[in-house]
Amino acid sequence: MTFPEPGHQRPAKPLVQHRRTAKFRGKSLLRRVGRSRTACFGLGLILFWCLVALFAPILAPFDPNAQHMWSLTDPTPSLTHWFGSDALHRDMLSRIIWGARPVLVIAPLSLLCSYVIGITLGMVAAYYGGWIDSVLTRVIDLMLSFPKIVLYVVLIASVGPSAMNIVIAVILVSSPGIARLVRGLTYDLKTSDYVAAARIRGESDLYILAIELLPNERGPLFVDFCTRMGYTVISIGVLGFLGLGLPPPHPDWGGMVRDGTTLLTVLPHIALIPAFAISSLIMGFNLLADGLQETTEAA
Amino acid sequence: MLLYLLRQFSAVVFTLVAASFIIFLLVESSPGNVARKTLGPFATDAQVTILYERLNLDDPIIVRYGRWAGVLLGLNADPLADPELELNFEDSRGHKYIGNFGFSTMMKVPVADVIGARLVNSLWLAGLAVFCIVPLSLLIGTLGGLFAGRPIDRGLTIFSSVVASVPEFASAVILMSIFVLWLGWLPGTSPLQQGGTWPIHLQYILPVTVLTLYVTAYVSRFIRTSIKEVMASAYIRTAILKGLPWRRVVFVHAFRNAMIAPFTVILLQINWLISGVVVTEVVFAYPGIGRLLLEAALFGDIALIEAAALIAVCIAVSTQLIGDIGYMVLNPRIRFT
Amino acid sequence: MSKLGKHHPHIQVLQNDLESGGISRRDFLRTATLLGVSASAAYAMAGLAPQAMARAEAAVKGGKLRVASRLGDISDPHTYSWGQQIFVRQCLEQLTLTGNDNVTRPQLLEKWEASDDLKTWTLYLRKDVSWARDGRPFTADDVVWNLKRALDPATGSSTVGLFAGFIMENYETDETDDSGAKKKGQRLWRDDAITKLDDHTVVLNGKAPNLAIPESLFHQQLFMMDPADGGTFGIGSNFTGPYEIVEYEQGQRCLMQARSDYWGDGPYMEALEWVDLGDDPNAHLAALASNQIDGWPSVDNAALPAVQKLSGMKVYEALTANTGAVRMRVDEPPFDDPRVRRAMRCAVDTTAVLQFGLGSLGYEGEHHFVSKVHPEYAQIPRITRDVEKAKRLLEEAGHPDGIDAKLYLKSSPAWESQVVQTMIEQWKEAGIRIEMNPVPAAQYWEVWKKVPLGFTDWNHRPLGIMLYGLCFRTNGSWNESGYSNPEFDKALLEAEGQLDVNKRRETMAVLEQIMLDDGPVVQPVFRSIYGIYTDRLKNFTMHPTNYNYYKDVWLEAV
Repeated sequence: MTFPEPGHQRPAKPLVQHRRTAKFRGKSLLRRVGRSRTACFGLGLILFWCLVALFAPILAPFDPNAQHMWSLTDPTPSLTHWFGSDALHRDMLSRIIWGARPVLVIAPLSLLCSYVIGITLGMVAAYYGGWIDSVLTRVIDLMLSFPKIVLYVVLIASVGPSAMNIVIAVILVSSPGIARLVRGLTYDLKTSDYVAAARIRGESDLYILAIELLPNERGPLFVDFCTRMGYTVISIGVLGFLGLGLPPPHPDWGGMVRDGTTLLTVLPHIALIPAFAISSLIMGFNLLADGLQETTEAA
Repeated sequence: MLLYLLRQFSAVVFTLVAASFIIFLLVESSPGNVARKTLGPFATDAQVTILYERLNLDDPIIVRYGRWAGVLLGLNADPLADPELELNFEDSRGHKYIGNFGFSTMMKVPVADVIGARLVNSLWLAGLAVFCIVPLSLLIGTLGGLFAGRPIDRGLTIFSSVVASVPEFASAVILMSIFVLWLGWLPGTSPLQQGGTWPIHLQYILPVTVLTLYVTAYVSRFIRTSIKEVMASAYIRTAILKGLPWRRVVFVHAFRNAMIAPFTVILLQINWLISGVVVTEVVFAYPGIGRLLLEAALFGDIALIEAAALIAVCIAVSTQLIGDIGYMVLNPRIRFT
Repeated sequence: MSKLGKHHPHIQVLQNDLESGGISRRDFLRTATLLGVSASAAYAMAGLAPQAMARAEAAVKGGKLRVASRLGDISDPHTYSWGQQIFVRQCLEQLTLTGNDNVTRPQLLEKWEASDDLKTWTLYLRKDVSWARDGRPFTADDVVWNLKRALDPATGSSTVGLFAGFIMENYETDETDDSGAKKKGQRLWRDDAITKLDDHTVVLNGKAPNLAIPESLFHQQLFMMDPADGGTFGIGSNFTGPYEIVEYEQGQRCLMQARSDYWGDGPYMEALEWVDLGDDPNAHLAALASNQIDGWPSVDNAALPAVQKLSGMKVYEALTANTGAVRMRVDEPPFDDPRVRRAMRCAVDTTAVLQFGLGSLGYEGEHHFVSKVHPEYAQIPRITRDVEKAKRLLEEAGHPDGIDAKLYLKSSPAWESQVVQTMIEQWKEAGIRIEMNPVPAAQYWEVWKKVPLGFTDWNHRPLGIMLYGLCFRTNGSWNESGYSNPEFDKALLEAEGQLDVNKRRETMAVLEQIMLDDGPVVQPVFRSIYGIYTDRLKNFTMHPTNYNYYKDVWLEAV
């Protein structure tokens, strides 16, 4: 699981070149999504899981932690119990439905915080330049030099697994990359005419950063968000699989795959169904990112 | 050029020092745990207190970091090796040497004994994976880029999107259930033991496949984009119009320019392939450095965590440096600015 | 005088009881052998055929068995945990051996004798045992050194807890603790408590009667080491057993080679290889499926269905008193109130825990650690699930809204987590809200005695009272709950010394009742344990604690 952190050695992406013409200022993101079938499909997958997570109490037939007698006779998927039950005789369908919640709450929440921090750092560094930029870049590079999994493992293993700690770990791991991306984008844009115009008008720095620069960066930022969401979902799954995710008995897709691997020869559905669920969610984000990329290229 | 290299090198050194401090901070910030973890769960409270005092654990963290760095650079002897402590830690290399990471409390041997072999294993796995990834992703990416928009490209893109969405642990589990448990064609674990039923080269197949699938799906997309752009560029069109044979155009001109970006991407992957493949190593019981780090972190073996983490950062930073230099060498435009 | 020459006077009593139907054959076997009758004689007296052993002529020599096992630090045998001794047992030996049938036989001893009052035990060593490295004969000096070292509190062995009532005394040391009071220590009650009579005889002089001395000599930390090794064991150390450790890489691999001049039967297999696959049952499954190992001695119950599907393998089962219990620290609120402890027990449905948590791979526990497998098991009215009663008890104790707590447990093996999760669901209904906190095994053992609420697994022991002595006696070595009840201690001492099985059962009933009313544990199930080996392995029977001796088994030729 790697993430393509914007690196100084990567060539300027075509996105940046295009934006010099400020062609994207007016384009609506949604329209871009609409123009790509891949992006629509991806968005559909994501929305599906969001709805599932939102309406979990209504959709799930049982309490995800309740143990059932019917499982003692037949734990396999059947017409009455679509996903069967797991090794502890709990209904799999309910656990999958409820399991969408932690992922779809923790990932966006922690990423949003990462974006707030990353955008702030990146913009400040690029806009003001000078020694602020040097120092911040140094720090960002330092944090980026840590392989992510190393950071995750060392952090979570030392402070213990909990939802809060996972959020903090994700923030620590993602913010530097975002900061660097934003820094690059801001650097490119800060010499634009409209920025100069705003400065002449006498607008404050904060206005320029928030109103002039930020909206123009939303294209690549949104693509970055989608891809990063995919990777964060993978990370949360990996942590669950390694036993560093949410503690039991909370339904956690990665942890469910882990629990199911023991009985893979006997009851394969226990591991395969959550694996499929998590893959479909990741695919949603990847396809959305791909689609957005396509429409950007085509433009 | 030389100046550039020097500058990069000093940046690398600075990064390593700063990273080592951060690692130290993360791992040893609570001194009470340090003493307890060194002695293990069966030690009495009295023994823990004695060790705490001996190691001067109430010194400020900067001082303790300095001491640790001193041991690492061969300037001081590891305090845990003090025979008075009766911890029976013996190091065949002597007490002071460069690269002295201290003693692993989980394995009861010097860290240097353990980490070397595991690192080599990880390098082997990464090497084999790269050996498979590069040609495969080149093939898929180039095909996709050359025939961009056409059915073969769509097919390949969808395929790689799907494969890239399946996390390592899911694909490892699925492959294992097919090839080990159902068909029985391949060994289920890869502990790299000689003299077992399964020859070592077969033990590599599954872990390498899992890694190859995942990374190829990812890298081939970059290659595809890159080739597509290059093929659409002016000079390629000129070359075609000039009447150059298509194969020459692709392999001589397009390729060289298209490979610049993917080259750095592949390098980043190498970094991950060495120290980030914890999941694959865990599923197949492969004795690599990723699994070592996980076990050390779960056990609380401080010296080992610090050593493994620092080595991982070292690898990351070196690959970035090589990437920078390589990128500069490959891309004449950058070289002369 | 009994029919077979000079025997402990109680043997006659036992025989009479057996004939009149007062005690079971199992009780007779166990007690008779403890009192010094040889196993074969005891079986004969009981009118039973001895355990059928496959004839040694059919044994095939040679071959190598590869077994999965955690390979920890082996340097201090007198403080071994269960995982460490299971493979070292092939090299170091003990004075006695309690087999699968709960009958104790001599191992390094030839026989033993108990005085009429059960306070003095005479141990007769075998004369044909020699140390592997130097050929020196195994003598009483070696035994005395080992016993004294194991019973020295400074060594840190839990053997002290087993022998505390018999041969140790508390005294005030010269050191003071933080509050100024003198620290309590333990030492042998008499200088000649352990003495050598001649080169092959050792005498134990106890201060109180104790029937189970031979069984206690089989404690998993009481290995006989060469005094010249100073208490440390490793490659190159001296040993008396059938296999020699040739290679040892901690956490990875251990290779053992058969010894040609072993004093007993076997060994038949030329080599034993131990492979450390970690705690993950999946790695073991994969290794078995792909023929990288031949055996997995302790299969995680959660993996049993998958293991049963493997071909070319045989699964062995042992009905045991192996169990796990939720333990509350009696000095931490809210568990310092016995009513809260009782409520914890009342809220649990042991049948449901067995079915859902353990997949019915065992039988129900009764919250007092003694099982029907134990000879002194006394049947007393069980606690059945009563949620209303639990709520009432909590209210009386001052918790009308229920209680909240965190439970620590090991993250693997999986059966522990499954049992706990089942109980958590049941506790919820009574307003007992417990949050699970699984930690890796190494971390758990750091804190297991200190956390207010923890789940600990216990290996099978042949006697119910062994765990009582280790865990619930005041200041017991493994007293993780801090439980201290003088009434309990007194009854325990009585039970340890009682010869008459029926009287002992009465005392056990008292002890069990104390545990139900006041005790610090919730113990829902006993677990059957399973082992799996290649079907080429012959003559193997599963020991309830997995104290397996691979010298007695062999591999069929391929």
